[in-house]
Amino acid sequence: MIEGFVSASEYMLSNPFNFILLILGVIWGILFGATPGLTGVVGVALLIPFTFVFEPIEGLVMLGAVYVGSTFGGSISAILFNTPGSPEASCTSLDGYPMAKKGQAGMALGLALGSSAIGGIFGTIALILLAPPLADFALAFGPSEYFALAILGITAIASIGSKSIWKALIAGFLGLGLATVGIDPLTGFGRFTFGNDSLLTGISFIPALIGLFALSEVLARVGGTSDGDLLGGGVVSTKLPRLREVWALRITLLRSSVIGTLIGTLPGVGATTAAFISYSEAVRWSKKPEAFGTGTPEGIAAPEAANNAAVGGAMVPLLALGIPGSATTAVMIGGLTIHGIVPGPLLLVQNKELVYSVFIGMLLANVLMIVAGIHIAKYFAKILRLPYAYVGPSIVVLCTTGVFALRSNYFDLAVMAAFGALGFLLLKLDYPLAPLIIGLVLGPIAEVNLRRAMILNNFDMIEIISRPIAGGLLLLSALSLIYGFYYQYRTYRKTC
Amino acid sequence: MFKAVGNTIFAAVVMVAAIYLWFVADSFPPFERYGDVDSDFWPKIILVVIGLVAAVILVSSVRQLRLYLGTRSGGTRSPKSPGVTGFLMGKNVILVALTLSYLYAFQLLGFIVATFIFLLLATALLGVRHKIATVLFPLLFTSGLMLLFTRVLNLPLPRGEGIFRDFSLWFY
Repeated sequence: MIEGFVSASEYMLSNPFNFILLILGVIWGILFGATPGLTGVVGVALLIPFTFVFEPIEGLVMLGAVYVGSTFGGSISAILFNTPGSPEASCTSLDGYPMAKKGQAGMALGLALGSSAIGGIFGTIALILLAPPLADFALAFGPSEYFALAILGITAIASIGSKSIWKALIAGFLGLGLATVGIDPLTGFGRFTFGNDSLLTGISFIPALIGLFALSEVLARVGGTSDGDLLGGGVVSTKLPRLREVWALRITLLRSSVIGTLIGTLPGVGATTAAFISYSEAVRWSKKPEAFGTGTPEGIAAPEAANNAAVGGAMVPLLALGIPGSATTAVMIGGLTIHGIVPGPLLLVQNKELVYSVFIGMLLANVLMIVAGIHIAKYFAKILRLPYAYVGPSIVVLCTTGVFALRSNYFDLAVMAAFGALGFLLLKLDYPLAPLIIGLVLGPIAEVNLRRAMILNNFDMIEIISRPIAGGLLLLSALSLIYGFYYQYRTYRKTC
Repeated sequence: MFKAVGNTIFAAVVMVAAIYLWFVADSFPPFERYGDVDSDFWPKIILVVIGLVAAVILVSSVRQLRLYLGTRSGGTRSPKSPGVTGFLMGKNVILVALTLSYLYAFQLLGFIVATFIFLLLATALLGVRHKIATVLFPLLFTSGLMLLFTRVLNLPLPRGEGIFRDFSLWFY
């Protein structure tokens, strides 16, 4: 490992062009992440043909930097406009947007940036030091463990619904239900499509997300605000958080970085799940769970540290096993193959310089992200000073264009509109949106893996529960669910 | 009042939908190989929970509504609430209609025309009265976005149909 690291460091230092590519990659990634609908996947995919003219290391270093930058970039629009630029950032808007609405946009962006960098650096260091054992950890996860992990995230619904546990439950289960639309991954039967072929692939996540958060928010804001507010522009502080304020979040940051790294290593799960599970855990361990959703710093730090830590984690199965851990790494396989590189166990042995150069590049990209992110975020924050009469319609246009550009599919626009209406209705009736999104993200993972585990274990639930990791996670879920109900009951008794 | 009525209607609709969809799930063709964990296994669990929770919310909303109506008949004025009429007649309805028309026009008129008209009308609806700004903002925003997507990113944008397609072809 040391030999590879030294050789890669020498290569990076002797090729300053890599640093230029790193800077460009981070900026490109942040801009793609911050534009609703575009996401890091599109950012990486569009760059792949251009990397062909570079050396393999240069190309991969740049793609890694785009991945790092885009994961943070999504949080900029999530915080400022309640419009997650990428699915990974959807969780950040739950507390980031309320904080920005309080006039603390700079604080929210700074927390997101700091947490992203800390999580990203943690994940990359873990990748450098522990790539082989992390790959083994990923292989130890079977369907039972995936199911238990998803259940752990879903049970946080009980803690998130601080106003009404019933409303939180119904929102969560609506999310789980909506996730069942489309072809059943096991039997191949189209469920709840009612003859509509566009629904066979299921409800597209990004249009649904943008509709739920962005469209509903524009409608709610226009409906609940006077003309003066729409035209005046808000007072926005771009003041960044102090080091002391970031230090106060150290436990949340550490826990979320560990969760992000571990979940990132699991193939097919990705940064979005990492962010939600990390948010759920932050709520679970918080002394003030009722503060989540109102603009609490932990609500920003937890998902941001986790989703950027998952970037490092996702590179483990990609490079060590040849299995993409997320959508972006799946696209990155294309970048590897056009340079004739075959990812897999031998890559770590035969191509140490390349692998460790990518690791070093990602580490540097996280540091560069702070510098680039501060400037880009400050410019974005200034948009909030514009009258909402301009910002609101622009958000609608940007969302529509971004959603359409993703797959050139008009049905996606219909999904966005339908979810916008649903989100608006839920907001008006005081239903929390977080459980709905958690249900949408974790529902398919829970369903498919429960059914697979049942088949593999001859339909014996005891077999699933008795597996150490799965059993442990399910026990934790049960305890947290009981505590969630108890906490709600105690709060109810106090208010009566 | 509006929220109590809204919650009652929403819970009732969700409950009825859950019951209906349970029967839809029950009609899924069986696949012997998957035994107890067939296509309907997971949806049925979810729909049962949704139905039960919706019933709980429905009962509590009806109670709230009755309490509210009882208070009103007792002569006590309720706290000021937006009211259904106020809500329905607000800018929301016009903006919703405008947004839906935009999504439809996006395909029919193409990106340039649809976006320009939408921005022109939406900014005017939300209170922008400055004549130059009303025209200049949609023009610049539409052009900027078009250049970004079609020239810089080389991503597709709809061209519209008929003469609108011909018009779009001048630009991308």
